Amino acid sequence: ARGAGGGEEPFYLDADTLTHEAAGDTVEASGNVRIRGRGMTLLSDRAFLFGDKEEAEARGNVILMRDGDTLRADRIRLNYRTDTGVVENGAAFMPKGNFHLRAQQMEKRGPDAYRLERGVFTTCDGDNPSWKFSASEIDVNAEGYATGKNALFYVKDVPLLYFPYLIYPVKRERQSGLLTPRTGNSSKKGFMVDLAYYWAISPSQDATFNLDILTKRGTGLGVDYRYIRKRGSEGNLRGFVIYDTEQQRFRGDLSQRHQEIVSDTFNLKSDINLVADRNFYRDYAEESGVYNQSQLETTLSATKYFDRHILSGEFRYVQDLREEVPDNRKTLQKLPTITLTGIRQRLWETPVFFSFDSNFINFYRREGIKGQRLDLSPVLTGYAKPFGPLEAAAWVGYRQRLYYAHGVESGEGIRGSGLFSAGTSLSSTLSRVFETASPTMPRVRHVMIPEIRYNYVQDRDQESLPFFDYNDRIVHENRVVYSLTNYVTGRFDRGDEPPEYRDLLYLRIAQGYEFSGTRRDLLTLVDEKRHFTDVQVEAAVHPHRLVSLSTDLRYNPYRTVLSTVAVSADARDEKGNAAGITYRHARDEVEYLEAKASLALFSPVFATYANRYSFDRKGTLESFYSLEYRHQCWSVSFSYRDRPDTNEFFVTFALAGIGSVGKIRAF
Amino acid sequence: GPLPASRGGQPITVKSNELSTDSRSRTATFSGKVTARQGDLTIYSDRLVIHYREDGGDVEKVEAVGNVKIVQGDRLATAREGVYYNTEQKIVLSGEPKVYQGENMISGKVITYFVNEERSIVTGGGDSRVEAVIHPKDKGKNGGTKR
Amino acid sequence: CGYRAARIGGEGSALADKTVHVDIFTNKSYRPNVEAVLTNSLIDEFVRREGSRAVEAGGDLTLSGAVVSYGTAAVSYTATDTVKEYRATVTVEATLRRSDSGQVLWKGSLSAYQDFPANDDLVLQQNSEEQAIAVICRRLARELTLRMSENF
Repeated sequence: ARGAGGGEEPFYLDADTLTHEAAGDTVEASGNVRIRGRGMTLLSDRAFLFGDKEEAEARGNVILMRDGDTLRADRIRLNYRTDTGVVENGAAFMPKGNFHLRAQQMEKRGPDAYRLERGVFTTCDGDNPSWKFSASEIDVNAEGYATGKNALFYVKDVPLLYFPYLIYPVKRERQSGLLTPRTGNSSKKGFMVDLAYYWAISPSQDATFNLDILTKRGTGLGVDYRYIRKRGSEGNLRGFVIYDTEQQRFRGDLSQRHQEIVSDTFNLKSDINLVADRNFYRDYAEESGVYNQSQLETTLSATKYFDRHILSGEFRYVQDLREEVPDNRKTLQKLPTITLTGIRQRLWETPVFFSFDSNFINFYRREGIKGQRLDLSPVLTGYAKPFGPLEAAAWVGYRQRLYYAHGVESGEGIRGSGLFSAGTSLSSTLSRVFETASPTMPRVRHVMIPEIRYNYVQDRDQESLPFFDYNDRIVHENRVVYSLTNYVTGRFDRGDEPPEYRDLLYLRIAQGYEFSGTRRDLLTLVDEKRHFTDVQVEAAVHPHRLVSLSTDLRYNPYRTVLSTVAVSADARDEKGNAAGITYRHARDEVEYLEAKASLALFSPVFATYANRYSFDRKGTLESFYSLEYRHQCWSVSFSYRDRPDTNEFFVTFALAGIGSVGKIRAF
Repeated sequence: GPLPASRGGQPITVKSNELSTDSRSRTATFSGKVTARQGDLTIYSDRLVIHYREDGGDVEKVEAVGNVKIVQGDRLATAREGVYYNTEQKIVLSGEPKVYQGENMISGKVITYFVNEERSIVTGGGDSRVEAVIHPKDKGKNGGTKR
Repeated sequence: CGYRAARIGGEGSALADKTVHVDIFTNKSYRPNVEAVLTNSLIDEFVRREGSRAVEAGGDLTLSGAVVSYGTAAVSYTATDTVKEYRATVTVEATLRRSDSGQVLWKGSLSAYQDFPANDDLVLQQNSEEQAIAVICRRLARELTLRMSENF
C-alpha cells in the first residue's frame, strides 16, 4: 500500500532473519538477502540499510544487477541517494559490447561511472580470457568511455604491448582499429605485414596509425585521424606514404574531409582526395571501385542559406586516372562554380510559382579552351486542380547563357544565347486501401499515379558558342512522356507498437514520343533517338523483409528487343546466410554480372564467395573467397582475392568489440 | 533519540466484556474485545491473560490471544498471538506477525520487539521468509518517527 | 472504383486541408546544392497534389529535414575492368511538425538511387550526374509525401 508520502520508490527486502533498530533507522538482514527496488536487484549473504545516512551495505557473494549490467563483489557500500560507493573485489559485466571489468578496488562515482584500481577489462567471457587489458587506474565515465593509465595488453597471460594512456568506447559501437595485425601475400606487393596502433587523443579525437611492410614495395606509413568539434563540425584526415623500392620514388595518397558549421546559415566543406601518381591505386588498392577508379575529385565548397535562396560556391578539381590518359593537362576543371538557386515561391495569391536556377562557372584547363559561362534559367509554373484528383501544371522558362572564352576555334570573346522552354503535365495520385486476410499485414494500400508530361525546348543554333559541356548544346525538345507509377505498401501490425509500413512493390512504366527534335538521354547508354522512346520499366519487389528483387529495363519498340536491362536479387536470413546477384546489359556497350554469397556453414565458421564476370571479356574480372572463424571475443579470417593482373591472400585478426584493420569487404 | 523512561513500573489498565480471576494460578483472564494500555503502548485482542508474580501483585507477563493488535506511537503490530514480558520489556509475536511503521512493513515467522530499545528482531523459518518493504526517508520530509 | 485522391494524412485526418511550410533542407553530405534541388521538388510535389495554397510561409505544418548523405559507386565494368556505369544514391531524413506546438506528426528517412553512364569527358559525365540527382530528388519528393500520408 503506497503511502501518500511515497514519493520515493521503496525497496522490497526478503531474508532469513532481520533486525530493525529505530535508532539510526537501521535494518540488518542476513541469510540469502535479496533487495529489489529502483530498477536494481541486490543479492548477498548479509545486508545493512542505514536509513539516516541513506546508505546500504552488502557483504558476501554480492550480486548487483541494474538495467542489464551485473556487478559481482565481496562487499559493496552504496549511498543510494548519490549512487556512489565502494566495491571490493568487484567484477562488472556490461552485455552491450560484452564488456568485462575486474578490479580489487572499485569506486562507484555515479550511475554509470566507476574508478578502478589495478583493473582488468576484456570482451572475452570466462575466467582466463584469450586477451585482456590491465591498467593501474581505469575510469569508466557516463558517456561510455573507459580510459586507462599505464595499460598493458595481454594475450592469455603474456603482456605484449604497453600504452601510457588508453581509451576504449565501452557502450559506443564506434569501432577502433586497435592492434589487429594483418598479414598476407600479394603478387604486386609481396609478403605483407600490416600493424595498426590506435591512439585515442580524447573522446572527440582519435587516430589510427598503420605500418605496412611490403617485401616488394618497401615500408609504408598510414594515418587516419578523426575529430569532432563544437556545433557538429567534424572531419577526418587519412593519408598513406611509401618509398616504393620497385619504382625508386615516394608514392601515396591523401584524403581529407571537413565540415565546418560556421552558423545555422553558413557552412564550409572540404573533400580533398589527391594521389601522388596516376597508377598508385592500381598497384596498392585492394577493393574494386578503388583500384580501378577512373577519376579522383577534390571539392572545397561553401553554402550560404537565405530565406528562400541558396548560394553555394565550389572549387572542384578532378584528376583523370584512366590508363590511356597521360596526364591531367586536358581535363577541364571548374574553378569555381557559383550557384544561386531561388526556391519555388508563390507569387502573391495567384496559383503561379516562380523559381530560378543560375550559375557562373570559370572553366580552366592547362591546354585548350578556358573561359567563363553565366547560365540563368528562371521558370514560372502554374498549378491547378481542375476537378477531383486531377493535378495540372504548366510552366514556361527562359534560359540565358553568356560566355567569355579564349583559346578556342569557335566562340571566341563574348557570346550569348537565349532560348525558351515550356511544358505542361497532367497527373493524378489515386490510392485505395485493401483489407487482407493476413493478421500480421491486415491492410495494403495501392497508390497509382498516371501522368502525361509535354516538354518543349526551342530549337536554337548554338554552333557559334564555345563547347565546355552539354549545357552549351541544349537540344530541341518537342516530346510527350506518358507514365504510370505504382506503389503497393503493406501495413504490418506489431502488437502494441505503432504499425510499420513497408513497400511491397514499386512499378513504373514510361514511354515518350518525340514529335520533332533530336534527343539526348543523359541517363542511358543506348538510345536510337527514334520518335518513340524505349519503354522504360522500373520495378522493385520486397516479397519478404529479407528478400528484394529489382529491375530497370528499356525495351526498344521498333526492334522489339531490350536496349538495356539491369536485374538484381538479394536475400538473407537472420543466421548470417546471404546471397545477391546483379546482371547488367546495355546492347553493344556493356554486359556484366556480379554475384555474392556468404554462408554461415556451421556457426562459428562463415564463408563468403564473390565474383565479378564480364561477358564482354568472356572472363572473370575478380573473384573473392573468405573463410572467417568467429570466436566469442576474437575472430580470424582468411581471404583470397584473384584478379587477372594480381592476386592477394590475407590473414586478419580482430578482437570482438574492437574493429579489424582492413575491414574485409568483398566489394 | 533518548530512551523513554523505563516503563516497568507504570500501571497497566485493562478493559473487556468479562473478567475471571484464579488466585491459585495467579492469573486474571479478560475476554471479549479486550484493550490493555500501559503508557503509550496499547494491546487489543480477543482474550488477554495476565500472570502475576508470586511475591507481591506485580505483573509478570501478559498473554494476548486472537486478533492481537499492538499500537505504540506510529508503530502497529498484528499477529495471532503476542506475549508481553513486563520485566524484560519485550513482546514476542507469532502467527503471521506483521509490524507497520509509517509506510514500512516487516513480516516473518516470529517477531521479538524490545519496547525500551525500540529494537525488533524478525526471524523466518521453514518456508516463510522474512519480508520487508522499506521506504528510504527523504531527508527533509518528516518521516513520522522520532529521531 | 474505390480509388480516391491520396491526401497528406489521408482522408479526414488531422492533416487534410492543412497548409505546409517547406523549410529549406540542410545538407550533411559533401555534395553542394542537392538540398536546393530536393526542396524545389518537394514544393512542386505538395502544390501539385494539395493545391497552390497548400504551401505558404506561415503554414499550419512545417516540413524540415536534411540530405543525410550523397554518394556514387560503380555498378558495372567493361572488359578491361574500368567503370562503365555509376549509381548515385541520396539519403534524406525529414520531419513533419505542427508549426504552433512543434508536435511531430511524422518523422522518417528515405533513400533513392539513379544509375548514370560513365563518360571519357568527365565534365559531360558531371552533366549526367546532375541529371541523375534531379531524377532522384523528384522521386524522393514523391515518396516522402506518400509516406506522410501513410496512416491507413
